[in-house]
Amino acid sequence: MILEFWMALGSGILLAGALVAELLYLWRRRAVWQVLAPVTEIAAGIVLAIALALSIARHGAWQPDSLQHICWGLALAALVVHLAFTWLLRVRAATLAVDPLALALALVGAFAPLPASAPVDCTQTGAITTLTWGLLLLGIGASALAGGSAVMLAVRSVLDRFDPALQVPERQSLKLSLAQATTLALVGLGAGLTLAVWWAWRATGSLLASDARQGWLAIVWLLIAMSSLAWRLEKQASDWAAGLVLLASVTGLVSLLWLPWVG
Amino acid sequence: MSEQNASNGASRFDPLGVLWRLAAAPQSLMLLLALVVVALVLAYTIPQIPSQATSNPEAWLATQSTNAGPLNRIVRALHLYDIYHAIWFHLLLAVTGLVIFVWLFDAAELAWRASGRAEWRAGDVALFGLPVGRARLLLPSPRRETQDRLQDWSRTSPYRCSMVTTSSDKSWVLGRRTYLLWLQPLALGALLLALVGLVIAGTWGWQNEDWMPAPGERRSVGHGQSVAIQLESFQPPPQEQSLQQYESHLTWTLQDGSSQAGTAGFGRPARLGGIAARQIDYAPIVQLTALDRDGNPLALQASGAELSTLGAVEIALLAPEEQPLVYLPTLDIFLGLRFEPWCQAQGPVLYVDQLQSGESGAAAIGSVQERGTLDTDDFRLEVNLTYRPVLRVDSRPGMALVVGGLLVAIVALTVGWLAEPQLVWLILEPGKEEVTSIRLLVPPVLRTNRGLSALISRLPRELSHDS
Repeated sequence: MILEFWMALGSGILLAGALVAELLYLWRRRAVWQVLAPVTEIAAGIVLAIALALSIARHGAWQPDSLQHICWGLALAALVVHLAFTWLLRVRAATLAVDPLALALALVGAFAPLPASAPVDCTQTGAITTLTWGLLLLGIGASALAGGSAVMLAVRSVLDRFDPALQVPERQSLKLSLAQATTLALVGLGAGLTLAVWWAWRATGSLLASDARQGWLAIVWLLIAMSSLAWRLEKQASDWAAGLVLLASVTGLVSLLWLPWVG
Repeated sequence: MSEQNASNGASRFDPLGVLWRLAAAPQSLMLLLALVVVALVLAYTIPQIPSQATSNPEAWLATQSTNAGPLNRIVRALHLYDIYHAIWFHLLLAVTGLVIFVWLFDAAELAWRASGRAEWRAGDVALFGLPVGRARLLLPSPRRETQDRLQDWSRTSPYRCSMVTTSSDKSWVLGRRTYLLWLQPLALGALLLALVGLVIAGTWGWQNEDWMPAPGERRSVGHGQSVAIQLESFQPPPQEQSLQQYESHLTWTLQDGSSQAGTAGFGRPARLGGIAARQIDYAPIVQLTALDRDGNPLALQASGAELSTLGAVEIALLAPEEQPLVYLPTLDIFLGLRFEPWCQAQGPVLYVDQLQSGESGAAAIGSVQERGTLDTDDFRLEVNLTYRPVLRVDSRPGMALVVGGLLVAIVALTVGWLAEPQLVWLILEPGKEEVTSIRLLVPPVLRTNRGLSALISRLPRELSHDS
């Protein structure tokens, strides 16, 4: 087995540790769990970033057709956005959703088959493709965080009923995380799609890129825009915003992970 | 009297105003975006007619597997096989554009007032709505005292505080970095431009069929324009070897007979006015000559050709997965060609395999990178591997608007999100027992604003006795 496989497995173990620490913090609010969870997440992120860098170096460039690159890139994007929100906004609202997602993506990426050959589409030049996919993954990572906040908002009432002593994040924190992650997803995905459209126009004279996933990500962007607009509703604004961004993040994940296999 | 009231009521009905409010409602834009989403999902799930078949859609539809049944009737009636050119889709984009225009106007009005160009009036409260978090603050001081504290605080804080002049309540508007509110009309205007560009690109302009010229080959391009284009050469620039760096050196010949040179590379089109020649791909061309042991030429028959040729045959490998066969009738042998492209470190390689007629499996004869001879016991193959560009010539006047509009919109959104303008309307109401109640209203666009939430949280502390 190659080095990056073991590094991805190690990252997965660290993420599982972060999840356990977060669950323990949910159960009993102790400072040790509060510190341990983000520290373990940072360590997992660093290990995964090194694994991704090694894999990219091994293949010579970022390969959009590689399920491994997509999975690890997406897991890293979700973790980075989540940690940035923890640091800048003091909000760790969606940990219980982001950590399992990143864990699953790290493992799927580790066991994913390698692409059969080098990329044959010569219109995909290295730097632009890498930047485009970096922005797209940042957008989908942010939408995953927003989706996680939406899920946490939905289960909060259930958890409250199940055990009121559980330290579930405040509704206001969840809403802040939901709204800010939605805007970041709108901006990141929008920037990636704009770059993809610009390059498709330059290279082929068409607005549609040769990669069908980018078309589906445009649909995801529209759903995120709808979620962003939903905050202006007078009634049930956060419910609509949460529902739409959850739909967007699921569509985004399906577009990236499942669509390449069904064609 | 009642008749007069009724007639007054009727005259007050303002259909334009109703339409405006309808368009300005978030539900309207959400519904339109939902319809665009449905249209895009259909476009990605129902096979769309290729541009070269649009002149005879019936012939193309007849070849589709979903040609029969009630679903097909819906597909045909709604032009779901060509959604991007369907009238209803253009209508949907037009209505979306109108709604965005209304939003642009409303956003510009808010930015105009907030940037101090016009004084706040009591009626402007309609531009504000409830915040997501706390909507009311209770301060343990009488209204007059709270008002004085607010004035004192606004002098030292970075917030600009303006009193609403004609209000019966005591209303104040606090603003910070309000000039950034202009980013919202800017983003909406840019999106509108992108939408206009999308419609222009979809209805005007032209695109010639893809062309794979040999050096010296020439063709007329455009619709109703007498412009010709000729490929002079397809070669790498000095110091470069990668096929990605190969360039097509072209000559444009204009109507008046004058000519102009141009160079097109991958992602670097050659332009003449509004016409662009894009190098969208390259195709390997294999020239094969077969000789027997005595050096006499052997007949070769390329797949798809009806007759064999005594001499060199030329085969274009248009797709990487393509593995064409060449038949040697004299020896009853098939040759399989397999090309591995080169985008990164390794050079391109052409593999030639031998397939005996009636037998399964293939025996490798050898591989060639540029030019070479492959020997077997029975024959000798001379292989020459060259490349031709695949060129696409088009004129799409709206594309720059689409890309430019999207870019400006994204930049405006990003700056607005990072730098966050803040604007809040405070209505001071007397409460019970020397308590002042402050009702908070924010513009809908700032409902999820981080800074505004923080301000609302710390305002009671800032205006308290101890501050």
